[in-house]
Amino acid sequence: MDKIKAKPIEKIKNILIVLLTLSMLVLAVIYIGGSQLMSNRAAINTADMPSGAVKAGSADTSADPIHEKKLLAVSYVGIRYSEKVGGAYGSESASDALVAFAKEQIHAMLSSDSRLTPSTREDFIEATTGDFIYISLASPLPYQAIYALCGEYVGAASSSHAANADKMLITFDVYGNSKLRLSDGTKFYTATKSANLSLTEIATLAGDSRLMPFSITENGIAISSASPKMQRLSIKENTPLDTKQQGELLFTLGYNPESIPMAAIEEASISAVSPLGSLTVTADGINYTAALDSGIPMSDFMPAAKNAVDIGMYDVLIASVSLAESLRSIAPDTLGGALSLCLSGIYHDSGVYTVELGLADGGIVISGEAYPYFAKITAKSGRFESIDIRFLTVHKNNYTGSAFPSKWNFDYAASNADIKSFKLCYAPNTIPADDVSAEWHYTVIGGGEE
Amino acid sequence: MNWKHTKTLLLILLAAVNIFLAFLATNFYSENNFTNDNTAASAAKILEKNGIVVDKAMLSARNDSADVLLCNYDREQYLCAVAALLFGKEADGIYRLPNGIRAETYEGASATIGYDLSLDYTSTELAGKGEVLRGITHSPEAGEVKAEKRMLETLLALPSGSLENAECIKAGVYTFITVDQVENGLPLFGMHCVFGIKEEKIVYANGKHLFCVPEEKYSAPILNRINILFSEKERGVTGTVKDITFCYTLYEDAKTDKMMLVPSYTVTYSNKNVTAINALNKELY
Repeated sequence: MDKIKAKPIEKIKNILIVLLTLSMLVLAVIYIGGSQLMSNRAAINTADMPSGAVKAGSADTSADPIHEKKLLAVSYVGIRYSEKVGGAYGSESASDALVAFAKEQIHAMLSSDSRLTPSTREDFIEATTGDFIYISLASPLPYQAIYALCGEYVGAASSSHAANADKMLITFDVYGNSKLRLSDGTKFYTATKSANLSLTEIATLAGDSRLMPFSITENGIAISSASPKMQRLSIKENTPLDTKQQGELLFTLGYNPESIPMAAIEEASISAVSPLGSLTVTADGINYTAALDSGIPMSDFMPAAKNAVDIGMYDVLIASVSLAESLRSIAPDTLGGALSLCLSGIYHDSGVYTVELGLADGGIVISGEAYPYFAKITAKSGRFESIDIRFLTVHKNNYTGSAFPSKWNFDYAASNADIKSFKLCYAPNTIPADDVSAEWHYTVIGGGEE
Repeated sequence: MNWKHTKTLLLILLAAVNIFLAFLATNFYSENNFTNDNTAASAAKILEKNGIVVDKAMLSARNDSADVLLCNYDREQYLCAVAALLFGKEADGIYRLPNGIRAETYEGASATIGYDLSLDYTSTELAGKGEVLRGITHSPEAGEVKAEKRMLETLLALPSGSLENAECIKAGVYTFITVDQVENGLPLFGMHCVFGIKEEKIVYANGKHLFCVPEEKYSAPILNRINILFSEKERGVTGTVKDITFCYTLYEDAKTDKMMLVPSYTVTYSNKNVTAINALNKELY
């Protein structure tokens, strides 16, 4: 009887052994397969991208010549040809073709075989009654700098005056012969050289249906009833540079990171003094002042070394932009983030050149008391004497908004002031700031900014 | 030898080995292929302390995986080829712009094609018809535009059926189809374009689209969602996370003439800010 009873139990045992063996094999395959063959483990460390890879559309421009770096912040461009009048704000894509064409002509008419002669406001305004291309910049610049940023530098026009301009008017006749007038709102100049424009190309440009009607005021300011489009910005708290970035920054500025005592390199800041000068880096920015008879050699940031006495405005501009770009590449997010560099000013006084660089988005510059400039660099005798760089972590919001048309604001402002310039700019009251949109700002003849 | 007892012992051993293996496998998958609940909850707590509020359910997910895809891409050639594709012939005039080109035909068609892959194209016959189109559009039934969708799939070399659920509007003889570009099942960040077609021709395009088919690929380790949000924390970002999406972002490499489709994440915040982050090196796109 026991034997008969035992048989089914033995059978069950046999079946269980087979099942458990199979289950063991399946589990082993799942475990080994999962861990070895089909591993989907998350990365522990970051992986490097190929060295030349950049976001689509933002090719590496560090090797580009200076005129291709888009340092000229254009606030408005317009055209009038054969009864067609239309313009676009610099932040709109409709302005691109017109700006590219205008820059080519301005470069030709400001070349070395041209000369600037003083002119009058009346002559400038009179010229707007015919066919013309008008271009206004975010800030007035010396004509030599405008020439350098419009095309390849060979040699700029001569002038007996230090002519600055933020408004340019290219007029042309029925044969395409052109004339260039420049103004900063108070002084007016005319270039003696003419260029021959292609009327076919002008007709195509004037026929762009995206351009909106505009008019030019007595002070040479373009005003339009169209609302400018721009992206809103988010300005974040700056992240202090990490140890690797601090090392790279010191190296870029000619300091030896190994020779600086650790006490001078703290978690969020650097404070270093060397024969080159004193350098302070905090979460707010970089501040460098050269020691007496010293300074960071500009030749480190120029394509070819040059004798100090031969260094002119163009060389200072190239070296300053190259320095700013080198520093931006170390911590791009903190040094301007999504915005691009633009030239806000360049001056020469008693042998010292001062270059002011700003941050802009499509011709709209960040400005105002909270953030007056991105970089202010002074140079003398082939060396940088001081470098003041203000960090700004700024992102573009996905939302594209629009501001009120320039005409509405101008009419209101012009009712009680003689306006010299009228520009759209981002002027955050505090930093950081959320959702910053561009606003209209103007400067008054003989006065400050409103 | 008592065979009965040996079998019993073997059964106990096998059961023990099974339990051990089941524990190992469960542990492996919960720790490696998935971010488990506890890890997700701790990460969410740290992020919240730093101003990033995220539901732990968004972090407690299977780790994503995707290859880096490569297309041949020479900027200048690409822009001219796209212009030719849109016009149906070579462009008669090409103007270089700071951010791309403007191509035109003698017949009046024009296309602005950006280095950032943006398109703004209007054919000769559609130019100036904006007013006519206003007010006569309607949303068609799915069957009504099946042929147009199939044709656009062919013109854009998209897989068959990929536009089945694409948004569509009819305006007289024109059909406008919105293409949200997808590669290997993952959306291409920012690649959203409206194409207008009429009689087997593209007559309008506005948006961004990549006209390349990936030809090579390589695998690379992908950072998980927790790493990605921690990189946002390091950048000082604050806000409430509404969504995290695995996608591709586009990088061009001029040295090798390649366009790279790199696995990335988009993080959408409740204030509508969207950031795209490279899932290989956690850099902001």
